[in-house]
Amino acid sequence: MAAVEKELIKNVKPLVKIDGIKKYFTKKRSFLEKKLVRTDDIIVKAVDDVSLEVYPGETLGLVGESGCGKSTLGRVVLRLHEPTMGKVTFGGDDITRYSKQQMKQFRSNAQIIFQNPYASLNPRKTVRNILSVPLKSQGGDFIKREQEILHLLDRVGLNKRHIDSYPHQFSGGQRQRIGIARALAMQPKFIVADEPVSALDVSVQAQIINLMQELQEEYQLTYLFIAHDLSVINYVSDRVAVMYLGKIVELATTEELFMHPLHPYTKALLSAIPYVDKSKRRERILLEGSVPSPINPPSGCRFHTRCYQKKGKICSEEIPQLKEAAPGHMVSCHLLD
Amino acid sequence: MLEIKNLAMAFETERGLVRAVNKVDLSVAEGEVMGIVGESGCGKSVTLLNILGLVPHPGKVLSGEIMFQGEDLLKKSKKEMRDIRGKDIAMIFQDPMTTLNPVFRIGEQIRESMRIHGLFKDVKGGFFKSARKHAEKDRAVELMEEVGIPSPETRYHNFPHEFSGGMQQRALIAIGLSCKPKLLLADEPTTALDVTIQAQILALMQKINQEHGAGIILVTHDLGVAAEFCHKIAVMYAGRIVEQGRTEQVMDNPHHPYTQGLLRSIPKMSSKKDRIEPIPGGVPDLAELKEECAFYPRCAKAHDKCLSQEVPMFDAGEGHTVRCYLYG
Ligand SMILES: Nc1ncnc2c1ncn2[C@@H]1O[C@H](COP(=O)(O)OP(=O)(O)OP(=O)(O)O)[C@@H](O)[C@H]1O
Ligand SMILES: Nc1ncnc2c1ncn2[C@@H]1O[C@H](COP(=O)(O)OP(=O)(O)OP(=O)(O)O)[C@@H](O)[C@H]1O
Ligand code: SF4
Ligand SMILES: [Mg+2]
Ligand SMILES: [Mg+2]
Repeated sequence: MAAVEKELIKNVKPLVKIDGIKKYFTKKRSFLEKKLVRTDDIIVKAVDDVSLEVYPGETLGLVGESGCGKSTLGRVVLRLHEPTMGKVTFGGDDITRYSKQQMKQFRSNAQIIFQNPYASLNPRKTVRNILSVPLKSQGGDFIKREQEILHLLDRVGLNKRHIDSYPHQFSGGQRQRIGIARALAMQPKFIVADEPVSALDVSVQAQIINLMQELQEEYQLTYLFIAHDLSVINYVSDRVAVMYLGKIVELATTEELFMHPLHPYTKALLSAIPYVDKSKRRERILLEGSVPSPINPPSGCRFHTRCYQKKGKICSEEIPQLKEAAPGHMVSCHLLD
Repeated sequence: MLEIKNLAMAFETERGLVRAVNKVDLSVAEGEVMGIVGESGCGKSVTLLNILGLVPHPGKVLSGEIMFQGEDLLKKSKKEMRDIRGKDIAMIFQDPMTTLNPVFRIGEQIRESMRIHGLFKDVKGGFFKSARKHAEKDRAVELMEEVGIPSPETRYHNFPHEFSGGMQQRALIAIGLSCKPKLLLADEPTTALDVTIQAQILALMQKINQEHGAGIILVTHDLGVAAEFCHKIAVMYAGRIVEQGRTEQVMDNPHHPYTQGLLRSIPKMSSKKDRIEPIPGGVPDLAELKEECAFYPRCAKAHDKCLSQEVPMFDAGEGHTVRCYLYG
């Protein structure tokens, strides 16, 4: 893993800076619904005021339960979604103001790897076609491209003879390797990996994780690694951000977060992990109910409806701010005021 | 209570015979939780479907017997199996919506399951059998309460889509429990759920196991879930059980190279970051299986003998069995 020294972080400028990002989706109601129910359009607050920094060479893990807004945030960072509010800077430039030409350059610097290797590859294209597209945009003649494709295949652990195969002829793990090769072809600096191993069996998942780590070292890649599996997040990340219902509730180095979780939600999340190793099992904190909807998120602290340590009225009335509870350890919870 | 002996079944496809279940032996005692773990496509779900007599087309049972309370389920007629399903043996599927009917209210679906099995058929009286309907409804509400669905009286009238994934899974468990089954088959009941919700559902299933004494077979690919929840574990690879024993035996002292490999593939959650070691290669095509050890191409400890013939189950002591020549 690319070693990002803690002291270094203070001096190094972030590669990506997410600043007060909000992403609201509007679901329009039909005319009739509006007449009958007398309500406005439904607003889904998928990401609600998130600020994060990603440093060069590091892996920032983003973890949280289904629907909390992880993928939406990842897409806003790459400007695959336009943010409702806030800005994203890449190497100091505000990407939300990029021109078409600048966007093109940015697209090669920042890539995404998707969860579902089945859906993200065009079934009618061979591996050669899939990989030539990004390579063509970088110029170079046919022979050079061909060499580059062979090099990429080799690098992600696929055989040369696979070059004319179609995606359906590959297993899930092999398809994810193609997805990684496609992202690498652009020679990016920054990769958003959105649940890249969630659909894979454990033995294959381990192959892909190791591959991504080797590539990170070799090409000094920076990852925003999205996952809901905490053991994967623990393994790959230098720092971890925990998300709940559109907000970051805790952010710390991986070791700190897993050893000394401070937010009640993080504690519950960590306690829920089933372990093979008995010595690692903690007393389980069972949360009541399920995650509320981002359409009408709870007032105040969004976790207050399920919180087992609720402090009082303040929790349902005031939104807790993300504050530094220990050096480099950010938490948003009124218990720490 | 349940004993599967030498069960083999295959799908006849254009690609040839897909041997999805290959000479499987498995037993579950009363009140016991048996876990089946293994990677995708190894035959876990199909094994459960065999127990219920629900082998999908074009599957065929080739050999074996499935003894349940002293009788061979494979010899039962379709009608007899229908009576057993849901009443003595219930199944919970990974995706709740494959069982829940989207157009009926949750409560009615629980009631329906009791009606089919005539749970309250002795309750007589009233216009349009209203006494029986009431008895069934009361029991349904009680069950919903028991599986932790809040305000069951109101929730009784909800449709499945008005429930979250975790709540749908609870409703399924309520249906599964409605006839007090002796054996509960759970196929990845928490795979689609978040960890905090998974913890709730597993706690619920544990309670059911302890309070009703129901035997449970839990199919999962999550070794952590199996280790925490099951008394015994069977590890499946390419249609065969390759290792079986008490949970401590299999998890703390894995014998089969495949089990060892699986355990080394999961990230350890230690601050030292012990490297994970993947198993090289991928799972074999079940249509091309031969008699030899199916793990041979991926095994670091393989030798010629492994290729020569079918590997039998060896006894590693105290009921811990392993299908590998290293222990022969
Ligand atoms: N295009 C869209 N239109 C409307 N709502 C959306 C859209 N995309 C996402 N949402 C909603 O925004 C919320 C966050 O979704 P998102 O996909 O970011 O969650 P996630 O954390 O990635 O979840 P998962 O773990 O299930 O992938 C969800 O409630 C989702 O339904
Ligand atoms: N209807 C069918 N026709 C042909 N082959 C089938 C059919 N159903 C299942 N199979 C094959 O039988 C094998 C075992 O399938 P099964 O569904 O039991 O796997 P599993 O272990 O439950 O996997 P997963 O973890 O992905 O659910 C698979 O290789 C599958 O391709
Ligand atoms: S702010 Fe209050 S409700 Fe929110 S996590 Fe902290 S104690 Fe719980
Ligand atoms: Mg997502
Ligand atoms: Mg299955």
